[in-house]
Amino acid sequence: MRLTSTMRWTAVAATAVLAVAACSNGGGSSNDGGKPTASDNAPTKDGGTFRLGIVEPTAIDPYNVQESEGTLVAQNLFTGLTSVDVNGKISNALAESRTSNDDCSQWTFKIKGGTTFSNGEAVDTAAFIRGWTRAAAKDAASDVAYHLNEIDGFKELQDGSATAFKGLSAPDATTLVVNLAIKDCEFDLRTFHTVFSPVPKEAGPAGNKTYNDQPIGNGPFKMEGPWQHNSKITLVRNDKYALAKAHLDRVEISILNSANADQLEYQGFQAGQFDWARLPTEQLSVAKATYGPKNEWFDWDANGMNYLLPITYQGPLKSKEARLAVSYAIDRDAIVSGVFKGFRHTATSLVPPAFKDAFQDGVCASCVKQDKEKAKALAAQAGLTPGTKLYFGYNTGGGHEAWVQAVAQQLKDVLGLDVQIEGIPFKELLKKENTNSATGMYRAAWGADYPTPGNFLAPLLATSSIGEDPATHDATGDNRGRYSNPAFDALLQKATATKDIAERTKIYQQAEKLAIGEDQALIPLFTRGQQRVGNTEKWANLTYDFNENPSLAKVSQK
Amino acid sequence: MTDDKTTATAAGRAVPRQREDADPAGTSGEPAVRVVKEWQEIWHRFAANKLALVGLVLVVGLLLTAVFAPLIAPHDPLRQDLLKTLQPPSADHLFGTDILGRDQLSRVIYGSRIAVVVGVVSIVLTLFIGIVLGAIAGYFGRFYDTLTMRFADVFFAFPLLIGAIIIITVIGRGVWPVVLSLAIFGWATVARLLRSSVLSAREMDYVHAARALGAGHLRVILRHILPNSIAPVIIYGTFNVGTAVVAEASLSYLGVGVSPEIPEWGNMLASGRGFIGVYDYMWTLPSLAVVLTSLGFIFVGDGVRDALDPKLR
Repeated sequence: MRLTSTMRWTAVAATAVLAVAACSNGGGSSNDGGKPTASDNAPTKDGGTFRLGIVEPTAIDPYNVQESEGTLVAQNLFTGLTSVDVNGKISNALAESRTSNDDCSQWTFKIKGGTTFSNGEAVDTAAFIRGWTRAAAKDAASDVAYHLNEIDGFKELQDGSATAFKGLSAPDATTLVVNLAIKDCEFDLRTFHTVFSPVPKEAGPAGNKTYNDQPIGNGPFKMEGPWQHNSKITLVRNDKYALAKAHLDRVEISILNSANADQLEYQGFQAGQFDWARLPTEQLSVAKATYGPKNEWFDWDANGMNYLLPITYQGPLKSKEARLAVSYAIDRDAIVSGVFKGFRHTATSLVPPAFKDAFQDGVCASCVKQDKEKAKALAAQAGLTPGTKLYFGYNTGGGHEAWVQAVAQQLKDVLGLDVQIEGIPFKELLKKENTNSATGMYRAAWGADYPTPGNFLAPLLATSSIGEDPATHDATGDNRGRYSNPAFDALLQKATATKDIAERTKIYQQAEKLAIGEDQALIPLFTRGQQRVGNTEKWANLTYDFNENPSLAKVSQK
Repeated sequence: MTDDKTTATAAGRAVPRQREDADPAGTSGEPAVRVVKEWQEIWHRFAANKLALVGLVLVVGLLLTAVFAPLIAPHDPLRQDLLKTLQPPSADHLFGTDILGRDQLSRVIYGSRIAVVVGVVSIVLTLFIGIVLGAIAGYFGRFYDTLTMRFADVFFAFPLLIGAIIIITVIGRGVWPVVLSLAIFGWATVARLLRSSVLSAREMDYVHAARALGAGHLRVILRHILPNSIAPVIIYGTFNVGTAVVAEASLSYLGVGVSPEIPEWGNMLASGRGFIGVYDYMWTLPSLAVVLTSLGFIFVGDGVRDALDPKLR
């Protein structure tokens, strides 16, 4: 689960729930920018140093890797059971097979034998159990351990009453059996997350400073010296890698000032100092004109959604008619072309186009096109009369000022609402959304950690994700609008209990249709457009990966 | 700006209180004619400074712009037109449009209102707090002096922007929180200035005389000490209106000033920042407005100093 504070993917690392993963590309428009494809089948030549900039990650030790920058490093240092390609398709990495029993309460993974960590230690089932247990342990206080929560024994590890993971067992060195306390037919998708990485004995407990800064892994690259905080991280090729070896000799990752990292990255790219860079939003048009023709421009819709979060249990948006009225009143296309200059697209669903199979174009009927008459009629029905005060909170520092004002203006123009916009820091915004006095609506964004629609629907809309504190009545979960519909909850439960993928997807689609199409529990606005520049003159097979990072393990010199 | 309390004398002329009190007391025996001459002299000394005149033109221009903004501005500064965002300068939009298609020129014109209100009100408030505390410290001395000045030291030592950000974060955004925080972090200088001039003024013979005649503390301070020690404070105040405008723009630029939809120079600079080198018209006009306003008040302050206190030249 991750909430994103910026329209860009810059890791603000502002919140504990800012983990990573993305299923990119998909049905996304790659615009006309001419995205260099991963299939430029150039003869691969080993060698070379690839350079790029990131901001200081929270952690690179897999037990606590959360934002895209940490994931960039950890995904290259570790290889787990599964991998997910740029289109969100899952495949085996170290796993040779992954099967579940009939009710999805038990999963069995067969692991490729004979592979080793870069220090020579064997990567066996014990290494996986060690890694997962280490992350789930109470002392680790990991921000991402919750990804392991379905496994039996997780609770005991978290409260410190156990030191071994009850649900994990290893009949032999290459078989890992996982017993789930919470049945899940798509548990295997989760294992793509870096928190499911195997670790060697040398890792020790999560508090091991030496290992935190210089993790020894089994991935395509290994660390060259420890992490130099706020300065740099250097990776070199792991020649003992079990799968397809990397071509690059080295990767030099500079750690930049987070206040203007995208500006620094782009300047560095222009100066020939970096081979890959993000860009400031304001420079996109000009950059595209410069780098598009040179085939150095990357533009795609990633896994993520920008939406409005209406408070559904009290206040002016309590009724679904009110929420529908707001949605119909917004002219998304005008904002997309006027403010975003086409670098984001109108969202017509909550589950993004990147989820190719589950994506339902237009499931949010009110999103497709502004309809002033319908908006007015619905508003009248809901008692959302002109002059009604509507609170609209957003976080500062994320580049949201412009479009937030545009939305507010449209609501004023069409519905005559007295929209009160307020910009506050991201952490404060999250807190405010969850208090029991929240009303109106908030700017929000979400990206899934695993390529399943359930990772959008369940955390954001299920009743169990509200987590209302019985004493304070403040919420603790991510269903911050406190939408609650038993029919929706039942559909989600049915979906996770369905083994057949196509069947499961259909159920998810029904659930989305109910919560978004009918109840308008969230108001989708824009897709998560991503833009990068990359030096394709020098590098072959350079493209973005599932996590919106460059595909370092595949890049080679031209 | 604090000596604008004027009273009509027998001659029907508006003269400052500091002179008026001299007449009934009959101590100085200055006739009204003499007063008028003094004002003329002050104006002559001010006008002798050519830059001060330039500054005056800028300041008056700013005030007129602020007052008559609705008449001057070619467009509604809040009117968004998403079909015409980021337009370069054209006949219809002399300085182009911003990211929401709003007219840049109109926004700069309306921005002068916030600048004037924040600049003037915050300085008035700053002077008020500073004068009251400075006068108490200087006049009563000892315990009051120590207390006020140590208190002033605390505010003096605190960086203005950081202090203002803290205050605004606590009480919320808006024009008045900005004014308040500028005053809270500005009074210390005024208090110090005034205290030192009160210290010298209170030892003057006419003060002793007034006391001997039975004048109370308040009367002595208001009628005898303040009028003779306030000049440096007024000069400081004039200089600092521009500084307050810059500080207010900085706060908005940092996202803690007024709300982003309000046409305000710092907001405009903030949204123009990313376009440096791409769409330069986005930030040039608001920058120019801030610079000219600031310069205007500095020049005027220079002139006021020449006029009120030629010794300081």
